[in-house]
Amino acid sequence: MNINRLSLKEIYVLAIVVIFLLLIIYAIFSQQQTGLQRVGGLYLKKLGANPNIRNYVYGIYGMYRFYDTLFELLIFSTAVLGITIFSDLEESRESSSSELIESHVVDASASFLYPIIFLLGLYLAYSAHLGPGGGFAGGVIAGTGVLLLAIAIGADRIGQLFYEQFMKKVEYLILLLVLAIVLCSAVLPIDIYTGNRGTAVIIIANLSMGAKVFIGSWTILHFFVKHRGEI
Amino acid sequence: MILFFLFLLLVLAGAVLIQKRLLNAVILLGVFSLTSSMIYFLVGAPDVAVTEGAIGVAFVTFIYVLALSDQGKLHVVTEEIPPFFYQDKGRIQGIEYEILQQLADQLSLDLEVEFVKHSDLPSQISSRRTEIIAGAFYKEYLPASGLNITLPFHQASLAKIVDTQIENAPIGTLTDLDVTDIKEIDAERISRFNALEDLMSAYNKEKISGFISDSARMSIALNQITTQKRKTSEISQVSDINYTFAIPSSEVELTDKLNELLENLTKTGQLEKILDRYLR
Amino acid sequence: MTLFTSTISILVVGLGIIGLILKKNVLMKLLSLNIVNTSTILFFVLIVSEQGDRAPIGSSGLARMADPLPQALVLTSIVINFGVLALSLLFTMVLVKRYHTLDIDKIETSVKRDYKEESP
Repeated sequence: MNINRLSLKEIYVLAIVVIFLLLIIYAIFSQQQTGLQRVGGLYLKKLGANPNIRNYVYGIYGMYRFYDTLFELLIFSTAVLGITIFSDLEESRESSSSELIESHVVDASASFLYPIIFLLGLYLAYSAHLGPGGGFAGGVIAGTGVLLLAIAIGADRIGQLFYEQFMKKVEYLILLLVLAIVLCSAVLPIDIYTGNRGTAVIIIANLSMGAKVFIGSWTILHFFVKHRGEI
Repeated sequence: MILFFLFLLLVLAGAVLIQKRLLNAVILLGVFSLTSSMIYFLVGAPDVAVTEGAIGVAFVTFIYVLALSDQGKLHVVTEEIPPFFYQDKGRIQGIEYEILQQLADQLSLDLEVEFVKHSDLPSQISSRRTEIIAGAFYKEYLPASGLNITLPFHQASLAKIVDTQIENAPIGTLTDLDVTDIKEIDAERISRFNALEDLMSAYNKEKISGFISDSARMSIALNQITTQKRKTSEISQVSDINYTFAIPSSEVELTDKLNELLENLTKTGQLEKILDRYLR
Repeated sequence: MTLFTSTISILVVGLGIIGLILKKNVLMKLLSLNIVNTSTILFFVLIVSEQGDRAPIGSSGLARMADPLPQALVLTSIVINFGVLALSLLFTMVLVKRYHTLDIDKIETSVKRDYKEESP
């Protein structure tokens, strides 16, 4: 796409995108005249009564709008499932070595740093109701920490250290656990999120979400490490 | 403060769309996500900032870089033959290296050279990663392998060396060499060898009465003949050949670009200068 | 101020859409899709907030608190974008293995030719 010679098709596309943008910008400005509402006021009031949950954003996506989180977990599982099925059908490259980088400095520093990153991911996952973080960020950070370990010792040995076969079978049980918690809170007449029992339920839900995302993200990374450079 | 980051977003988005090399664009996308995460922090959304930082900056960049690690390279497979393509104290030099380096700069790629032996060449041709075959290559060297031959960059000759004192022994060549057009050889009395060193040791031990090879490999071989053999050996020219490059036939664009570059170099006289520097 | 910031994020969305349509390389299209996704969710967060809002965490002080609902909705979107991206890279790998090129025009002609050969 050269600036000096724009073909007819490119001018056409540019014109349509510019019109679309102008429409949206006009919509924003006209909305301002009637006043942009703060839409989360209702949730702030409801969550003010529950002293267990201090992070209002977690209160929304972890309690009142849990369907969103549930289906987000399902979409993530579908992506991981697609990659698992594809990796069973393909053989890896002939000349791929199991070490990503061969250097002593990287080996030593990676073996030292990976527990810190893993711990950070774990902390972010279980303290979702007290501060920023949440299960998704925590799980992904833990998966990245394991990738750092894979740089140091080779991606194939991670399977033995982390009981990979066992965890793959357990992955869908975690989803059932999360579904059970949702079912309890929807069906039982009592509110399970208040009081001391509430904190325990919240922490179990957080950790199971974090564990599921961690297993899924390590699966994806392992696949891309095995088939690196194939594009 | 926010305005500065927002304008930085605009600049980065524009920069991603102009890039030619994919790795540069991926790193710029990582910086884009990082700036976005910074804006989330300034506006009072720390949850979103942490999640965008973990997923958009770390994970997406890792996956792209792992998948694209082979992308910006031009793979060259060659034998080590001075003065065409050789290694000198760890640095690669040679006539063909300079030509291919110019091609890589033109296409904004990195040159990656792999030195192999003659017996490994057929398997490297069928591997998907090889893009150019170099190393004093000529059309008769590996005939009928599904390769496109480019324009020649140097003319040479096929030479034959014969020890006049040995009789009734076959003539040796390297495997796959096409000798059907050469009249002076009896086609049934040829023995094939896998490597130049095997050819040399067979000649020195008098198992063959002579061998045929192109002039570049012949000059390497001449250094290894024993002096008493050298007195009784006779070198004669058999036919003319052209040194070219070879590209697998599926890469039509690359063949066209390399031909274009070779034509350009011949027209402007740069090819002569490169050949002068190495061959004289 | 809110208007100005949301307008700029909409402009970045526009840039991403232009890149998505006009680029010929399959991977550059994926990168432009990433830009569109990231700046759309930025728009959703910017439209109800101003610089200097406090985070919506309890006991955060008396200053104006940010709106928590768009943030919760947007968290889902980030993870979904990432899932779509991982699967698209997978499909690109399959395409490249089959057709040996990253140019979208050549892939289209090859696919049409394969279609014609299979179903006369």
